Amino acid sequence: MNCQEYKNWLKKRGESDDEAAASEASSHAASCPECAALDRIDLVLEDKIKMDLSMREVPEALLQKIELNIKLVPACFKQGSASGLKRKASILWKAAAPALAMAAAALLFISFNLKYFKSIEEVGRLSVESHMENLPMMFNANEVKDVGLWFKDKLSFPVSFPSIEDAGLKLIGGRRCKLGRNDVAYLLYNKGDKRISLYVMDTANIKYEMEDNKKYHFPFKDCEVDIWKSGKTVYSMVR
Amino acid sequence: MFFSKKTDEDSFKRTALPHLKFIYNMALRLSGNEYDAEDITQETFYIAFKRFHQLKDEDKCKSWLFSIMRNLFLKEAERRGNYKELNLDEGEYLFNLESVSNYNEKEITEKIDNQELQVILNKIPEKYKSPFLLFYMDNRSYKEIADVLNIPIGTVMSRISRGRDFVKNLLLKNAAKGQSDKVIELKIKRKL
Repeated sequence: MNCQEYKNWLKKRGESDDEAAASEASSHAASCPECAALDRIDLVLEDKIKMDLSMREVPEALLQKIELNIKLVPACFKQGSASGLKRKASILWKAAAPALAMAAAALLFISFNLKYFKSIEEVGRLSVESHMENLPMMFNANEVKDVGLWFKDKLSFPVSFPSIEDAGLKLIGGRRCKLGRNDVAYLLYNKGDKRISLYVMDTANIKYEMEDNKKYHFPFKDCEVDIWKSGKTVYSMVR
Repeated sequence: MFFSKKTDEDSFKRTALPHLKFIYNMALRLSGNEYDAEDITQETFYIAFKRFHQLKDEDKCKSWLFSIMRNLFLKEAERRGNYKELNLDEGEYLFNLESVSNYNEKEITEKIDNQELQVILNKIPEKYKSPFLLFYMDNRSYKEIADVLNIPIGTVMSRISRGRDFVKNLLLKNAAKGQSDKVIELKIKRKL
């Protein structure tokens, strides 16, 4: 086996069980330092893939939601013939329609109101809880030239960021995340060895008055929180 | 007149819920974030419970759930319409592997290990990602993957190979950044 053949084998490693080819490749690598180096790096990459793709545990809340959904599905929408299903559905629907309509309206009203942040303290509390979760980033700072553009298709509001890098903060990465029931932009910064989180949300999600550019500062659970509004954007910084 | 809902629930939980971890993890890797993964997983099991009577062979439940989940993911991705995917030149991975093998191996290994694989997976076209994930996360054979995705075995093999090249190539390129511009220089010279 020559070097070119070895590289071709390396590219297709794992696709077949050809032991003879594997043995030839192994012999070649033993006598060719360049190809041996390729092999080592390729194995590092292969191990990285296997390790990072290990299964994560299912969040407990998700299992509970699924079990609840199963309980809430009406019995008539279960096993049975198509015509039998239609007949059962028709009977049930006529009987349940008024009650369902009222329940839907009530749920909509509750859901609509639960969506909003009711106070600055609530924003602060949710920000600190999220900051402590140590969320994985969806992008690293060196991969994205225009961070605002990255968020453009992921959030329903235009995202603008305050210029804080001249305060010695170094951007590490970011992601979309949830605070309560609202989607917000999240950026992670470092200052020295300190982690600093910045959450960016739309004023449409808040149900209280805030003065423009006035900073609301308070401590919460060993963290310091700063919240301020600028135009149509609210920022929450946790250090 | 009505079937026993309790029996249906028990049967569904016994058959489908053991695959919850697999479905959640696949949804997580396809969508790239926990929020979408939870939404998609929840919706998958809801639809599956409503259609449970359509599943004739309980041994095929895992594949059936995966198909439901994947269709939901694709529908949502199409609705968002912002799926920007990279292309990979044939031979690019091997080329970059050769270039990188001249660098400090310990440093390169550390830089590979420190990367977030999901960030790379987010850039790969779904048609390569699904077979790639089924191969690495579920240890499926090419034939089983072909059956689940309803594509020929040859297509499965080439898509897994391309997916693997994508991932390894991006891991390498990120690791090589900041080492020197040698990789870029070599690539330009080669194209010339």
